[in-house]
Amino acid sequence: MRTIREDVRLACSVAALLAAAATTASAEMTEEARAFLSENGIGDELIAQAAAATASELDVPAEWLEQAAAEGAIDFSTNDTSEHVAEWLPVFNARYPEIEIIATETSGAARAVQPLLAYNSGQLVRHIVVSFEGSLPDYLEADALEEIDDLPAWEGIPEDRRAADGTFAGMQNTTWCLVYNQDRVTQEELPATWWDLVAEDSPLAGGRVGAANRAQLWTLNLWTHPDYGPERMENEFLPAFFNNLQPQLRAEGVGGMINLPLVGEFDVGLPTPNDETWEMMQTGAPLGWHCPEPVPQYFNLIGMFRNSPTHYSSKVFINWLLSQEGQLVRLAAGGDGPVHRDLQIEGAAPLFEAFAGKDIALRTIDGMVNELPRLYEVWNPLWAAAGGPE
Amino acid sequence: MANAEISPSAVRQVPEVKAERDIVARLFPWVVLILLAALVIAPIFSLVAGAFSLSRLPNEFSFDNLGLDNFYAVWVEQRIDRVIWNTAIYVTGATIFGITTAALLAWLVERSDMPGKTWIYAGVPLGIAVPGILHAIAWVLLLSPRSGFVNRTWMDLTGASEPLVDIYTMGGLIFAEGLRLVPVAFLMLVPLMRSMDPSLEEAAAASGASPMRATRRVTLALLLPGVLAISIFQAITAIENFEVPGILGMPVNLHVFSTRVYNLIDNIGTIPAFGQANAAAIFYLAIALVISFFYLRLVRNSERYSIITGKGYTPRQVRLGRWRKPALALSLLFLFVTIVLPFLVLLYVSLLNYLRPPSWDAIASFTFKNYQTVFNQPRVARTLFNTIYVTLLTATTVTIVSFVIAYIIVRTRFAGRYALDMLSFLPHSIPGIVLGLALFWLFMQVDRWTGLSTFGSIYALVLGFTILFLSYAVRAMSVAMIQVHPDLEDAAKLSGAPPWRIALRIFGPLLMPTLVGIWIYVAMLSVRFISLPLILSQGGSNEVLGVMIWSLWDNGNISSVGAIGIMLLSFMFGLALLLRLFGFSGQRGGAL
Repeated sequence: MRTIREDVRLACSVAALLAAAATTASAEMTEEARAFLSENGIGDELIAQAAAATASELDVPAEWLEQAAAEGAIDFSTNDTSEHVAEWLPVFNARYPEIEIIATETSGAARAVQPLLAYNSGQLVRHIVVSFEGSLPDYLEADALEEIDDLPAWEGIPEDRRAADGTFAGMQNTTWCLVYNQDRVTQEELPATWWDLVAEDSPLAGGRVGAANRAQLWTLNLWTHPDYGPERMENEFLPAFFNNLQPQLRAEGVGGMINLPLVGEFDVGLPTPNDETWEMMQTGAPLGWHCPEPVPQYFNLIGMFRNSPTHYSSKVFINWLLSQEGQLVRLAAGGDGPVHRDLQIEGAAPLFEAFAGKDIALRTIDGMVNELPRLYEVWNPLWAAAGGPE
Repeated sequence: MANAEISPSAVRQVPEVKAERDIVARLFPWVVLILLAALVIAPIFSLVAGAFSLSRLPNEFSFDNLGLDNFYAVWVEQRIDRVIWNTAIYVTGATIFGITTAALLAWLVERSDMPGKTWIYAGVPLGIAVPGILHAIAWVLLLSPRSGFVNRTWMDLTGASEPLVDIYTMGGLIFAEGLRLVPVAFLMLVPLMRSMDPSLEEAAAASGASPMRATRRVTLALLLPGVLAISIFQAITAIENFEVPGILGMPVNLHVFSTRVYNLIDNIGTIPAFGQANAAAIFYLAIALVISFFYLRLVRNSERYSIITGKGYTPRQVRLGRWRKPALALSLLFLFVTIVLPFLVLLYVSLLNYLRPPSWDAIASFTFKNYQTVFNQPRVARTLFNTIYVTLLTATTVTIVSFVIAYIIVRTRFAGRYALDMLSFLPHSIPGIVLGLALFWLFMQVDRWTGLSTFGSIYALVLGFTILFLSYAVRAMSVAMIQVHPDLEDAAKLSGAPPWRIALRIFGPLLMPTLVGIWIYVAMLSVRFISLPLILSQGGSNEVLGVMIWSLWDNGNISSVGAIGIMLLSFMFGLALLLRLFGFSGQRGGAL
């Protein structure tokens, strides 16, 4: 026999459930997403797993969608190539046709620094930023990012890959290693560790390695790794990198590091990400990819500016990017490794075999906030002294 | 009875309307002068103020926090003296190389009996259509020391360990920029060569001088003042160029002013030193202004060296004899190197599956994949739309504004017309990167105080381009307007036609070739120019094609650069053809 109190509680629960059903958008994996994943080699099991998760991860409040429909286009600054965006964007729009995305592939200051300057001047030239790790301390100082920890997909991101204050999260995992021209570099010449690469008798010394000025992509990982650490990095590793290895110091970005070994500009490119390298290898280009240990890995960040005119649509969009569906769709479109805790499985990252089982040097949030400025203080003078492009 | 039908009030209105029109006519030039002054001076003021600002960010600017620290840092830490030296060598070398080549081609076309002159005359100006960034990228693909197709082939064939030519050197910069200067210099030199009084050369010939000696001692001596003025004009063009030194110099720290200023604000991680960039830009602007001052002086005193008279004559042609075919071969080589080769190189990389040196295997693997990829990108469609929108708006605005300014300068007795003339020429001395930086500061302050969103808008680019290209357009429009006799305008005025009708019914039809010419030329400049948009472009809302190509090249997406470059080149050749067919007819070059 139930008490009156129990009846009231039950009635309240039913009412709450009904209210919740009325105020959230039901979510199932769309046919477009299912077909896209299937056509692009994602296994049935993974698709089923992601489909099962959509009910909770994409269960955004109906109010968000209503508000989003009334907002303008989201200006989204991305490091993703336009080709990739063109592949995954229709899948997103199949679920959310009312949200328009203007995605611009940006590099240099245009990606993160200039949007922050504009924000400081009281206006937004972008609504969502990604890969702003190099400027993270400035973003935090400006308090420029909106809290996004109320996103339904937020909990899927591992705690060590999202901000404690809820203002940004990892969007994709990227592993950074060496690309090499298979016609010009033998397996024996490839270093087992980073120390081997910069050893005095390194077979790759004397300009065979081309290096981009991107310390934050791989050296920061070593800087915070117990086998290296700030002191050894400053006094041993980095001086050896410039003096023993004598790499070609290049002005080109990451794409250039992958392309230029193909025409003999240099034999080995550093640093190069697994996703873009894998994509180039699919064209039949004679490239190999090798990871010395410990393997530098990091998660690209995503965040949205405060006071954005696309507040709700940006939240819906970021939520989708962080959900298993979004993560798998981007993996299928361009090989972007999922950062989602339930997708850390074999096969869910391109060139996985090159770093599977190896010691991973993860770039931490603490490293980005506290150690990156210190690393720049050491790296920049060494780079300049070695004649690197400014 | 007809008079009785006119109402008394209408009769009273006639003098009122006339009085109103007179007031408007008197005030209008002042309004134009004030607006132009604001357009030109406001950005420069913000640039100067920013150079003295000690605040970390432009939006933190305050008159209470000013000093000379940025100038000290630029001179001592950034070693701007080295940049001055590099710029001097680069500009001098490129100008000498460009003018010499252009003069030789113009002389061959106008004053020699070289065969196939029509083709060369039609072909050389086509070089204007090749954007500087694509021109420079093509040279990297050909002459990069390790992987350039020419160098790689040379090293593979001969076993040499050193490249044949290294394009990443000062010599490379001078070569690439010099070639880029040739088409405009050629167009300026051709009328000079054509209009020379042949009697002086004939007198030399009659005195027993050989044709070559007469050319050397008379023709060249007569041309010298004109060539000097054109050289200074071209030096101003070279000093403000960013694309060539940006692609060829920046990767090896070979900085000239334009790249140094850009380099100071393009920082991938930390917040750039904006104040220092402004201070460097002040040095840069000062040098450009000094050169412009000499140019204006030279042009103003040019009557002293006048060699063009009102007589009609056909200049005597020098017989080249056995040098006819080598001269033609040399001219064709120029066309091949400046127009065909960049096109072929970009076409080649655009058809590759992945980047590799030329070989039969590579040719056998040709694919249209890159074109398909480009067409499937929303970003390309959006960027194309932005580019077309900016181009249409800029070309139309500049044409209309230049018409108004030229009319006031040429056709009125407005007291401030000299100031108007000077103000409209001033932007020619402002390098694109400097104006971009100046507008960046200005927009930051405007947005900060008004809450508007000027920075990052497409109209920011239109405004910047309008300021930059006004000098070209006003010059060309003034020259054309002088040729229209005032009698026609006076007759229309006597008939009671208002100014807008005079503009529409008299100047419009008579100046149509000039209007069309200016419109197309400004449209071409708007597509080609990347230094200003590189600073003012902020993503999807105002990204244009030049910025997209720069970004793709910077990221190493070379095949995409090739595909977009080929489409852009085809479009630009189309515009150049239109310019030849419909623009400046009757002026035959030299207007710009």
